[in-house]
Amino acid sequence: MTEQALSDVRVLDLSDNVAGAYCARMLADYGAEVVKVEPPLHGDPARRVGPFPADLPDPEKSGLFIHLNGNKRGVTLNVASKAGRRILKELAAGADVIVETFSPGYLPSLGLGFADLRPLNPALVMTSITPFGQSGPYRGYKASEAGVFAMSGRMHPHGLAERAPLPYAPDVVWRQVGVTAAAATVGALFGARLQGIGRQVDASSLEALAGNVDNRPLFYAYTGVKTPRERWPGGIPQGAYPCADGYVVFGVGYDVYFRRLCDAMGRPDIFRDPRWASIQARTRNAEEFEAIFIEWLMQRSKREVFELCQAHRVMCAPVLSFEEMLQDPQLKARSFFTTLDHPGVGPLPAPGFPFKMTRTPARERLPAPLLGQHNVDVFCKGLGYSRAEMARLREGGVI
Amino acid sequence: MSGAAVAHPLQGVRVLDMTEVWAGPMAASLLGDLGATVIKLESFPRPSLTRLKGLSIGYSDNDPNAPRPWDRAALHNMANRNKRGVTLNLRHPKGMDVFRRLAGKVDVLLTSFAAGAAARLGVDYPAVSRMNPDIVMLSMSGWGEEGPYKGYSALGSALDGFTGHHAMRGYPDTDDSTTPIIQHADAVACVTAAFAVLTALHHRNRTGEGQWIDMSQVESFLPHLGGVFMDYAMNGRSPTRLGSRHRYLAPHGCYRCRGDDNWLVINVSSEEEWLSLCRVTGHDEWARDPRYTDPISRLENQDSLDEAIQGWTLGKDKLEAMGLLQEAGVPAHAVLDDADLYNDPHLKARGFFKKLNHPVVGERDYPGFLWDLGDGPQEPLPPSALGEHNDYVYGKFLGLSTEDIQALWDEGVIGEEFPPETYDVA
Repeated sequence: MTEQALSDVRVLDLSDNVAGAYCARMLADYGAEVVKVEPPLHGDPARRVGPFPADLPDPEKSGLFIHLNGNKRGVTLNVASKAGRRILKELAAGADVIVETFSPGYLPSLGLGFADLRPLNPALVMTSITPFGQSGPYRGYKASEAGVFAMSGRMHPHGLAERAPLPYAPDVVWRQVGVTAAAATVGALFGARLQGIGRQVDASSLEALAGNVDNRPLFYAYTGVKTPRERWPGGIPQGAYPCADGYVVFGVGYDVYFRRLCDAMGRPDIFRDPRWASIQARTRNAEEFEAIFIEWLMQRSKREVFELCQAHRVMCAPVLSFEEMLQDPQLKARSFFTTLDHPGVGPLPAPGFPFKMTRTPARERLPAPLLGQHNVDVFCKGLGYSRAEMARLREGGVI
Repeated sequence: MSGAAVAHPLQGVRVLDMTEVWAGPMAASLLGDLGATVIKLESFPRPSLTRLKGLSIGYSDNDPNAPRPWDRAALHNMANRNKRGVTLNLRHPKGMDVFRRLAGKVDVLLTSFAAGAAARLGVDYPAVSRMNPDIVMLSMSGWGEEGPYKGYSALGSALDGFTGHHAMRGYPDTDDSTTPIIQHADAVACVTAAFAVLTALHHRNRTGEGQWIDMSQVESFLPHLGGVFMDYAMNGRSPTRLGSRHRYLAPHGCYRCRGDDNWLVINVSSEEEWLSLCRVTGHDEWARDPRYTDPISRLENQDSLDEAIQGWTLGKDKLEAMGLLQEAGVPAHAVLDDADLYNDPHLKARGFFKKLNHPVVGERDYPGFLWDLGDGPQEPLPPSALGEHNDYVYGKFLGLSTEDIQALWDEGVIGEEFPPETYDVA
């Protein structure tokens, strides 16, 4: 097997739930040796969140946990106990990266903050992912995914003007935060390796969202106009349009694209019609065009529309179900979907890796760990604890 | 400040950014934020989409007729801090020669051409790796550089459809055509691309090997739907639109507050939070109401529960309500609009917005960094005007003579103004 890009990176994943786990999973997929540290007995709360096979809750069968924690080894450790703190320090001394999602101030209160660990490991990168960051008046606020999304400014324009703003699908925002933190982590690691400087990455979910936006809120700073909550205000057709067997999303504003669409429809006359000859005219006469357009669409399947329009270089894509994605010729040709072969649930298809590195590709190496699966591996073989010491730690509720 | 320069992690790394629109340009800015020297290479005289004359791109002072409109669009300037901007006509033989020299001097090249276009221009990986065998090159596209959809293109909104996300995030009682479009696939592609490049640079540091990264925006985003996908894989269940609601938890919604278009998100996930909510709102009787005694009954009766909660929020300012509920440990969050965001005390205290002085637009407050590495206050470079750093980059960075650079200006290989025949075409 060829080495992977991050094969020489050792990561301690102290996180729970989605954002931190996905951050560490990104590192693991591209080769990092990740040890996930869970509290004894119940483990990561994500183990209690579905989906479960046949909807029967089982901490070793959570689809969410299994997808978030592949390619990691797993141990249990009560980091608040005295022995747990000592063991965590021993693990931290040998790690390049720690990913953690505790409330600001919690690890320092245990003597395990960045300032405490750095003397043991001067080049340590500690990625601290929180809803609102390590400082500021909201640092202690309770958070939910939709709540952080709401405060980032991205929810307000998402929906219809007369109705309540909408969130995105579950976990989507937390995953974006996870990738953002992963990028910052490898950036900081670069400095750690070349300059020997460790850093704490203060990864505020709020800022990961509020800073990664198309043109809002800068649009407001430039124009004084707030982003409205409505259907796309630009040229048409924009948005999802019905066809014979579903919907196709179009993004066609400028003349050059609209002309191509008219060609794809076999109706070059439409673009020559003064009602639709400019982006302003099309916006004024949107309904008349859309009536003709939808009539054309309703005679075709979404696949036919997609292929015909793309052949004319019109930007669009069908709205697909998971079933359709699994059969999609492009995703098949690229072998995108992988198989998660987990002892709790058996082999299942799952979305694969987020990009293809031609020299050092991502790989499925390990299924998500069972609770405490690698305790012996990590504590005995790794840190040199004896079986007798392990038994005492277990009895004391440390592992 | 002690005055000692902080060594940013990516100091000494050189990045050439040829991407357009949002995802790629913002990814390059993130590398600049980490300390890399980033050169933004813009096509000339063909304007990029975000510089093109058009609608809804947010001209400064709301004036599309002011001079140099291509420099005044929020859509362009949002995603281009911390770079030096140059222009180049790659279809001109001299332009290609300049590109070859640039490619030989950088560590990273980012592109977002539709598949096939890079090969036609002679800037695909096989060509670029001959110019610089150790380069890390990332190509981002909708569906990837290989496979039957090679050459297909789409905005983030259509990719949101392809991944199924479009169908998961509307109101429960509407259909896909009503669901607003979003460019979330670009936000994800941006941070994924930054991660990918940094990972490849890490490998190059160890081994000296460069490589090509083929990034499909569809593939970058699909793993983010892992939880709902696993439900499909395990139980054959397809996701349904829930609006602001949750499959298992209630109350879980977005409630109207006092004033015009003001909203508060409340997501209760424990008994403790529920009892606090009843207490703070002055409605202890909810806690005793048989319709709401346990999580299952609250879920079953959430219509009336949501109505009751909105009865309380309607009389409250959203920020006041957030403060009251948070103080009692209830996850409540105001839905901030653009103006609220600029006034937010938390973002202010953290110094999130950065005052940048754009040479044409002037001083404005820009959304800032996605993370804080603890290196102290940073002064990002403002987004550059078209061709602003031609002389600096082609002279100082590349070492071309003053005469050679003058010839590039004279022959239209580089420029700082679009001619009307390429600009006034929208």
